Amino acid sequence: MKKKIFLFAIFCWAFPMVWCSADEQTAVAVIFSSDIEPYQQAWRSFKEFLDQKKVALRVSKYNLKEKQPEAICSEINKEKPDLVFTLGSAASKLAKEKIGDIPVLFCMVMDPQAVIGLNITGVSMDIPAMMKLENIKRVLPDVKKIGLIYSFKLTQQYEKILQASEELGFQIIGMEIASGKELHSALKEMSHQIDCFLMIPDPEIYFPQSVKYLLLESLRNKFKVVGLSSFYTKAGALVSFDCDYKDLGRQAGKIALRIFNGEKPNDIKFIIPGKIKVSINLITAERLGIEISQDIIKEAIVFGGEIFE
Amino acid sequence: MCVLILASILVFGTGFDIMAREGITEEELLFMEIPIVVTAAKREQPITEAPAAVTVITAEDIKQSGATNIPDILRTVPGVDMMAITARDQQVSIRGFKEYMSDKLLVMIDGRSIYWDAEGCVFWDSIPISLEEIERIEIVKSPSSSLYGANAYCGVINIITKSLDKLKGTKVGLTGGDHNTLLASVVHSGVNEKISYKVSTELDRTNEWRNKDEKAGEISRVNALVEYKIGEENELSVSGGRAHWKDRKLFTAEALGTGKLTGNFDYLQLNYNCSNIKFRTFLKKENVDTHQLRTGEIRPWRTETYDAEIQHSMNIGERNFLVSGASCRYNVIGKNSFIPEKNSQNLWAFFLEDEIKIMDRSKLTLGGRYDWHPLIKERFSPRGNILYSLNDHVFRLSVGKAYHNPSFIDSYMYYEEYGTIPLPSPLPPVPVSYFYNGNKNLKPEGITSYEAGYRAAWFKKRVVTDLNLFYNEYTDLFTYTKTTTPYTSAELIALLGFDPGLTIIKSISSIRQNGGDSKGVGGEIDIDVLINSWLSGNANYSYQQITDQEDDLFTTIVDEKNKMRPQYPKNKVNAGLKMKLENGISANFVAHWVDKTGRYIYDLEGNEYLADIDAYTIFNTRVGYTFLKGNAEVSLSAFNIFNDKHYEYPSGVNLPDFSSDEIGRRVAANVSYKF
Repeated sequence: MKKKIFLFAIFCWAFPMVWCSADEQTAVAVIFSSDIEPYQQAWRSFKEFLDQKKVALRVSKYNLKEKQPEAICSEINKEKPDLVFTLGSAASKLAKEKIGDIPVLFCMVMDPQAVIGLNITGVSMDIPAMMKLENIKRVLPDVKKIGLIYSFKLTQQYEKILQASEELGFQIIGMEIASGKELHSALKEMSHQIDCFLMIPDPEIYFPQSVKYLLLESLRNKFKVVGLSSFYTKAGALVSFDCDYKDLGRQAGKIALRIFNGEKPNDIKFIIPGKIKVSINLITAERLGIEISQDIIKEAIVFGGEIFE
Repeated sequence: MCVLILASILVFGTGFDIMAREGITEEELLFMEIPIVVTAAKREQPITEAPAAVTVITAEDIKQSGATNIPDILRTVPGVDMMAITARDQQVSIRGFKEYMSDKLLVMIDGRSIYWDAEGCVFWDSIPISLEEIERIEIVKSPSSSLYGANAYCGVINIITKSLDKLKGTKVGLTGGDHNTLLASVVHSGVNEKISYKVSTELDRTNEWRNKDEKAGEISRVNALVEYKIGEENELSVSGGRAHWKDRKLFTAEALGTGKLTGNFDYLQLNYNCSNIKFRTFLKKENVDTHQLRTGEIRPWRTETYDAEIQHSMNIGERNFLVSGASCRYNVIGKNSFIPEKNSQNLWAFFLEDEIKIMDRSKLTLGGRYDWHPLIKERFSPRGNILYSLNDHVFRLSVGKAYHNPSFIDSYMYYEEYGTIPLPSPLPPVPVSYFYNGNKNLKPEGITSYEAGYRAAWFKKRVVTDLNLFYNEYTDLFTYTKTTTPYTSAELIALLGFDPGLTIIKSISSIRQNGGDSKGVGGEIDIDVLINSWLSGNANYSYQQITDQEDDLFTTIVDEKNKMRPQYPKNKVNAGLKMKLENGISANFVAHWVDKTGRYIYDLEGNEYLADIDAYTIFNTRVGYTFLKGNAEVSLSAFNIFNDKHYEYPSGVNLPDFSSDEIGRRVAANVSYKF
């Protein structure tokens, strides 16, 4: 009998502690669109930020490359975490369509308009047109005519760039094509008219071999290419602008805090990237006969002049 | 039937549509690996615009292959024949002519020929650079004498080294494995505004296939390069290197047996580039002693080559790109066991090639080269090519002539060898003499090549196909006449005390001659598939058939029906998968199948045999892990992982030793670190 009373007392003492601990942890379901390292960087930064703010997380991780979307959504809808954190547009679109009334916070999404909805907010990785063009002006002050090739899906992006270019004094020469098959002829037509080519992220047009062709044409016809990320600079684009993925994760952490404190996602406007990183390829610069200022080189990620493997 | 066809179209079309829609996201597009196009090489040219059938092997391909030498990397290239005779002896040729001491392929490093004019062959392990230093290997499968001169008969392999920028820092690599395999290398490069440099060294060791405990020879390599930027467009560079062989085994001929070679292959080169002018001069030397294992003799071999070349390129208007140049070469060979007196040759050449853009989609290339050789006198090698590109489709038609000069051995050799022929017991062996004679009156081997090529990209460039067809006419191919002289009855009685009533050979005399003409037909198809951002596949198939136009006057065995040369495998297939994940893990799996062949070989009495070589399949695999931000890597590779033991050259008939080894499996582990 004494043994039973003793065990009951232990249970009464332990149970509230466990209950309270469980109550203190915030449940977050994370959905990765894929395994790429930038998503992992943003996620780690998100966690670190919340750690610093003493928010204890109970995390369930999902990856669209490893598990069926339906199974993921079913589990999440069953568990009802406090927040669903998505990385990449595939995961964000899935959450928008299939997750019930759980707040969704997206991060690392190029087209936030496609995922914005009820109960969803987040951090975009689409560098605004004005910011891109301002940085082109800063890094490549001699550029006057910028070429752009896009498919119908990105007409809105093209129009934003057109609007921003008017304010900054650039002339934009744009060409809409149906698919990557037409890139060759579009470039042939455009290459003699422009001194710079701006890539916008269009999976309909760009692929490793088409990008390689574009970079080779830029060397032949002596026009600069502004790539999509430092991967493109490494391959031969003159310059690219990347988001700071860790900063995006931190920004997402700040929004998460607001949601945990009771704000509704609808009331929080999505954030655009605040910091960008410039990368430059000095071999390309030499081939094109371009001098990049030392100030820019000091701040940039440099290829072809520093160690890189 | 109509329902079936309609259903197939629906299914097939839907499949295409699904493939077309199965793209990557915008974010994944940002993080995609893009092939690097900008290197220190002076003229970038998309592979699609090359006026010949070209395959490019990148530094990444070399690393992923897990190969420890260049010929093994070349095995899976469509149209290339690789033959491993022993662990060290490896012969490479293109579209046939896979011979011992393959002599019809020009191999260069950064434009410097490493083809040895004296012997007429390439010793792949006399190259003084490590695999780490290679940026890419370009394999041109068309005859290219119009630009590169004699010996670019079947094609050209150009090994291009990494720029000093890319090598900047220090990289150490260590590979160890079966058969006492050891490959240890250090490459260090420093880059400055004006002066940049590179030094590299490598130790390369392996044991025989036949006997795991027996050394196949040790090679040590050292190489150095200094570049000096004189101005914006002026650059001077000096480089030099040595490959040192120690007891490196070499099979010479059935009659001679195996030798162990010790000595040095040296080079010294100076390059000067000024805007659109390139000047290059180099000296290369062979200083090698051969220890003939059957007889115990030591045979010296000394050769020197001095070469100078100048090249000028210019745009004429908007549509013409003209390359012109001149070169001179001085070859000298010292007196040795095979060539009774010192010999030298002066060679001269002029070349011109014009690339003309006709409209926006097509390009015509016309070129020719004039060569002068002291024995051959003058030769002209023309080439023409037309290229038409339509979006992702490129069509090519080419015609060209090339030729192959006789080497010093072919022209000047006079060699006597003495051995014995075993007789049936209880008779003792009897002496036999071998005489090998060159021929100063040889005409060069010629080739006229007709080619068609088609290269296309499909499904948003996820799939790239490359199809090449060729028809070649070969003239004056080199061969040996063989004359055997038997012992007379009186000579046998004097030797043995009686006449055993057998025909016993006293001497075999071989003289280099021009044989008859041949024709070759064939083609290659190559398919690359980018399955997704981390997985790609490749498959290729090659077909070739070389047929003599008349009975070979100098062989006793003739395939009367077909006159087909059996030495060159008719069919070859390669297929592979490559995986590279963002987390640093990579894997590569390749299957390589070669059709059966036959080869004419001789025993010590000069009897000729047609030895069969069975078809074989090699599976190679490599798994690697990159860490420390890509600066370090560990990997495990297996050559012939399922251990399909096979010969690639016959082991010999009635010989006291073996011509070749059975090729087995080799597993090796590698670790490398860059700092």
